[in-house]
Amino acid sequence: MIFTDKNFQEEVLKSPIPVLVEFWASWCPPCKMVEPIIDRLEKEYMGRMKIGKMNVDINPVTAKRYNVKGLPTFIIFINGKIVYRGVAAKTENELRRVIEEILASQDEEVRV
Amino acid sequence: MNTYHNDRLTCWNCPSAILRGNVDFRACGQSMRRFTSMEGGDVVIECERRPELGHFEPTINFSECPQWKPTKYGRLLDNMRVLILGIDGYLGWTLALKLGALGFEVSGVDNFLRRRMVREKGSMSVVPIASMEERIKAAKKYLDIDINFRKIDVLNRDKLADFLKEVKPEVIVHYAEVPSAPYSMVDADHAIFVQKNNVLGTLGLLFLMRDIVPEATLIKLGTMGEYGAPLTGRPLFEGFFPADAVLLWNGREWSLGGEMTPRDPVSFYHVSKVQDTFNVYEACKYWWLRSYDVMQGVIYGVHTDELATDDKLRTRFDVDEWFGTVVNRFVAQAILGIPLTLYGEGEQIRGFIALEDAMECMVRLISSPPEPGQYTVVNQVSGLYKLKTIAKTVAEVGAEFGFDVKIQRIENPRVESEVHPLEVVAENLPERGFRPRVSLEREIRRMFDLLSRKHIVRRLEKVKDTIIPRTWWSGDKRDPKVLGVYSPDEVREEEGGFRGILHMPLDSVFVYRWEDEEK
Amino acid sequence: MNKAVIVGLDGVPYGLLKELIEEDIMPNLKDVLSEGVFTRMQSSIPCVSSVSWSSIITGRNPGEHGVYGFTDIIPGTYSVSYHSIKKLRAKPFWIMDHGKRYVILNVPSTFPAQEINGVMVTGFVSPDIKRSVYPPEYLGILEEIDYRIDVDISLIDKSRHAFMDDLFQSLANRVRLYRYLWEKVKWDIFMLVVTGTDRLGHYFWDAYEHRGNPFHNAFLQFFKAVDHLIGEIYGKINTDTQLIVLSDHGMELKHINVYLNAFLKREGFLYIDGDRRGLSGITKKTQAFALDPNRIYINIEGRYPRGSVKQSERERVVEDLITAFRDLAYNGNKVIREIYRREEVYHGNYLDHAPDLLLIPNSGFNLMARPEGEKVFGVDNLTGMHNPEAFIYTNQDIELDNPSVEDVLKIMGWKYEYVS
Repeated sequence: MIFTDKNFQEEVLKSPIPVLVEFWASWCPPCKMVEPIIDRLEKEYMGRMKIGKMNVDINPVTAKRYNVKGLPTFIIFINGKIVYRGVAAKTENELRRVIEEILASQDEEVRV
Repeated sequence: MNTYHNDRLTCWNCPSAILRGNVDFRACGQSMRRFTSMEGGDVVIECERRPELGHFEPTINFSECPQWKPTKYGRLLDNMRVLILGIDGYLGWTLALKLGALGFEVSGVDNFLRRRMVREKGSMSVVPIASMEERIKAAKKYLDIDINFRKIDVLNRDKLADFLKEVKPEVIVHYAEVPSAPYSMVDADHAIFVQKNNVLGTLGLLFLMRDIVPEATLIKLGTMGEYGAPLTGRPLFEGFFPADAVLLWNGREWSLGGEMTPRDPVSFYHVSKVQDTFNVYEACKYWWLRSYDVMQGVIYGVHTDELATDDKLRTRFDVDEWFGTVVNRFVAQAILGIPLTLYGEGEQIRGFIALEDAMECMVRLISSPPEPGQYTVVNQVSGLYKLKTIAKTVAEVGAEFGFDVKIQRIENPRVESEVHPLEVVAENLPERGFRPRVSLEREIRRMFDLLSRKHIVRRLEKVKDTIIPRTWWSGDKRDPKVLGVYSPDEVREEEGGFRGILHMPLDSVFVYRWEDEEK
Repeated sequence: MNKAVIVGLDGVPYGLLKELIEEDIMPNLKDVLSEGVFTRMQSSIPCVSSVSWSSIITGRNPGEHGVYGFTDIIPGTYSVSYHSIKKLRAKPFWIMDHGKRYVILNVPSTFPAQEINGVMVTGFVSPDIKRSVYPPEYLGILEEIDYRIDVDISLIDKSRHAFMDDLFQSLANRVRLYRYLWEKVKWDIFMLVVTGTDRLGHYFWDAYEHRGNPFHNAFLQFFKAVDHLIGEIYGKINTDTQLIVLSDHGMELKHINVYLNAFLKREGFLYIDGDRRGLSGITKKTQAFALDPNRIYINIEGRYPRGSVKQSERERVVEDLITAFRDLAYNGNKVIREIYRREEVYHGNYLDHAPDLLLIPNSGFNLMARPEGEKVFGVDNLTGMHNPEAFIYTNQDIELDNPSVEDVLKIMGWKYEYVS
């Protein structure tokens, strides 16, 4: 999914499920490398976590609001709040671990 | 409707999109936001080719834009303005005709350095080539191509700046570098000259692009030799590690995704190309320039349809030890009866590509402009071969033409590993619709066919003495000792020896099937 | 020949001026109004600045001048382009008669600045200051007085106080520029538009309506400053100079935003692929889509890249849309008051580019296109919304019968003509 300044409120902040946003730019080789992984994870976690990309050059407002300085930056939002923030390229395993942890803590909350 | 590899690229990729002054890139001071306001902070751009659109969202697909016309190489920008630096060279001239025939507006720059260097070494192009003036006339006469040529040394920034302002290229193909490892190893003067010409020429060009044509794509010729051939067998990725590559140290793990892979150049010439790589990469990062850095395999061959139209349109062909590439020299040696020269073991594995395929690669890259700031490395090879396999193939094809070809092992004047693995990843070109179409044998046949013509054989005889290498990496200047002479059937692949592994996915969905159209 | 001065107050409704005069906030304007005619004026459809100012300066309706909003679909795409004066198909008055000398300052939707007999500084939206000024040598004075074409709207997210300060600062700098040009340039017609009034109305209409609001006084102060400007101009002109004061559209309290594309999605008229931005992700199943603020376009085959509605089906889709919009309601209140087909409201040579349907909302329902999201109703930090109730004042002794924005040039005694 492509996040933009315009759909950010609706698709990310108001999303009923957690959202992972990868902030990227075309001048950032690590971002390019992570792209196929993000696409793969998006399909795999569909329905449990919304996963997508946001180009910081085309969407400067959001990038500025969240003080995105290094790329790629990964932010996970739950109910509009930041629950995870990571900067720099990650392996697929690392990203998976982060996503699973967030989803597990989500489940816990539901049980409590 | 046909699907083209570049259908889904958008204005964000297009060189006609005017970004400077419109897009607020990372605090780079290009923005005039203080005075403006688009509702909701929308990013809008203008189009140089379609000024009537005013300011608009950069979301138009190439498939929706009337300026991107369908061709057999994907969509191409109508009358795209290309500037070829080094247009008089082996590749530059070939590309000029190819692009001209495709409807590009071709401009070119050269200072005829290559002609001078080859002359300096007592050699010449064995395929006769005319003066630039006559070449341009021939291009007009036989192919109806107009070429806007200017004699400029790329190091002369003032002149180059004026020409850039005149031409306003949408893509710049940079072939204006000295392309020879041995030439850079002759002595200090040669090494310094090569590095100065190559590195500083490119560096200056980057500054000019920043100021004059920031939206143009720079297609910069590098070489597979920048990587070297790591003995570990680590794959040669396209410039950067993939995201799943990790650095493991001390029980900890880091992603190497997007980090530049190590380079291990094998001559001072190759070092100049590595330095270029860094300069171009940095410029893209600092100024939102866009570039494809093409790691070209060893190039060979004589044929494109345009070159073959008339003898006056042929591109140069060098066979001397400095400017002749290995397959080209082997064919010359075969015709002259000089045993084909393997250096050392002859087990070196290299990536190769035929001239015609290399030209298609360039068109594919031109048709897929990178995004602002995007620096992408492209491994441009169509096959990996051991040198002794190449020698054997040339000998076999030579036999078809009635030549009795021998192969000799000689002392290796270079410093390089002679027995090594090689694994190459080449995904970026297939993603842009490229498929190798010319087999090694096919092109070698075309080479024999052309080079065994009488007038060329006569020229080959004249430059015979420049073929055997006498430039040693050690600094020596002497004939290498012959270690053994073989007939082609004695040359065999050893059991359990290294073999080149090429990762080149050829099943991309975005392929326009031009073969079907040709039938 | 007599001189003329036109003062535009963007987004100021007739009713608001009436109230402010009664409450003695605008004593200078009251003086001005003591002679001449002051009356309601009908805005354009849609009642947005780009369309209504285009009508005012050309004397034409959108079917003739070709401007239907701030944005248009680029032919052959679903990407939108922003308005530029190059898209205006009719001549603005300063092009019709080169014999007169003009100062045209801050008229919305006039970017990029045209080469006129005089001086032009364009109004919002002007994406590049360098092309906002003609002749270019006036750029220097703009920089010197720190002139801003528009307020910095992003400030509102940070601080309403800072935004209000910026409104006053922008007005002050604009006044400085008008004073400079008034003195330095020889002119026959001087047109100046104050656009801060529209920004103020959008973000502070609630402050105006509620006396207890912390920004209530600031709102009134802003109009006092505008009144001061009007008084100053009035004091400078001769009795034989024509004076026109007018607005392009009105403003009223907003209750809720209505997102038309979300509604079209919900009703099965619109399908968007999330992997592309905005409307560029429209798929073949789409029958209709909306552009700001109230324009509905049918996804006609041949007109759009993934157009799928055949000409023969158009009327059925139009009927389906009319039925759907008639039923659109919020808490039992109907959202849409009127639905027009384009031929009912426009005439001229450029109907092809016109929206197929135009929606007129009931009071308080702010129509927005917004391709993103699924919710049909929502709020944001804007509290004022446009309405069609503009005003016009002229110091001439003439009768005005229910005038509209297309009549302004006529009122000024101008003949008008098409772009050749």
